Amino acid sequence: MTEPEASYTTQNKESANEDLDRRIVRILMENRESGMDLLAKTYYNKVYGIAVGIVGNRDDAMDVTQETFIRVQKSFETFDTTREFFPWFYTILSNLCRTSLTRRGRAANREVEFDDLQLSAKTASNPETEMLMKEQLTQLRKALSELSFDDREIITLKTFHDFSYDEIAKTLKIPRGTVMSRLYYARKRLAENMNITASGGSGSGSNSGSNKLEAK
Amino acid sequence: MSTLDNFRELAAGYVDDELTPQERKEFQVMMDKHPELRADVESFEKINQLTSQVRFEEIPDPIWEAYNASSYRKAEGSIGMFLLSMGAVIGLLYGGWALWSTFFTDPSVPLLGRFGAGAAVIGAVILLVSKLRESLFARKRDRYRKVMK
Repeated sequence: MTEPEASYTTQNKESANEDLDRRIVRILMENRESGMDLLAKTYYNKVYGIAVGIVGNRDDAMDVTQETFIRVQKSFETFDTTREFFPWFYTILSNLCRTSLTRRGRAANREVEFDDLQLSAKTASNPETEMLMKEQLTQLRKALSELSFDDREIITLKTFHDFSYDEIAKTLKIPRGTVMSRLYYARKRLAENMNITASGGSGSGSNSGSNKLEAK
Repeated sequence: MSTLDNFRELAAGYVDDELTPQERKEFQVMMDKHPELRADVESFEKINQLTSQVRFEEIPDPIWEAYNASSYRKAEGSIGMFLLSMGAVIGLLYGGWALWSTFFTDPSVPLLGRFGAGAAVIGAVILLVSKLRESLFARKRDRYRKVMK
């Protein structure tokens, strides 16, 4: 895809999301129950996906997801309808993720398991590759768990949910340049945690694994 | 911050294809001059390559349905537990006071009987506290509580 085409597609996606959000807000204002139904249909999986990326385990992520929708229902009156919906919605989600981690005595963001992070089915081309990939997956889980909340948040949005920089900037209410800067440092720390270097592999004893990955 | 440091952060935008054509061109020029920039880009590409092959497992609808249904049960359970605990505490305090005033201070009851009853009451309280502590704290920390045994 050429650059203008890619940019056009990204803008289209953002525009479609904003239209949908406006529709959700309009319905929430007219009829809270119908609005909540549409909101849940649109965002339940996405909210769970972001939550599990940040809090790191299924039980907590499910609790956070449910609580996010309950909070929206309770506090929708406080939403300024002249503003964009998703950043407000995301703030609730992000705060609940923080609370969840703190509540479980994980203020330092340690002991986050990431057990639900799995290999995609398409990666298992042969047993050897699969074994090496599993090894790298274990390293990735550990490396993610060692990141700070802010690093994990931005990595989750970009890497696992394919938000564009503009979408991240709007969602986190930070300038686009800050998105790039935060992603840079978050990835640097992730690479350090995984012992990834430009010429070497990832992690001790897994250089061959990295080479396999490159060969794919 | 030096110019190189400013360019370093562009490495993220470079691998994500989020730079303007002008920024991209400038970054490529800088990358040719500074191997550390290329090293950053290569390590980020490796991370992207790995993360593109993993995903978080989605929760199947039946599990969500069961979870949502259990939320009501959890809420009811919490309210029930709160009322039960409150009632138990009041009952125990009243029972303790009544027992003390009618049994332990009654001179007609033999000392051995009072001692035996006292030991039984203290033992029951210890067991109750132990059980409560287990259900309130230990269960929360059990990572394998959902594993079928």
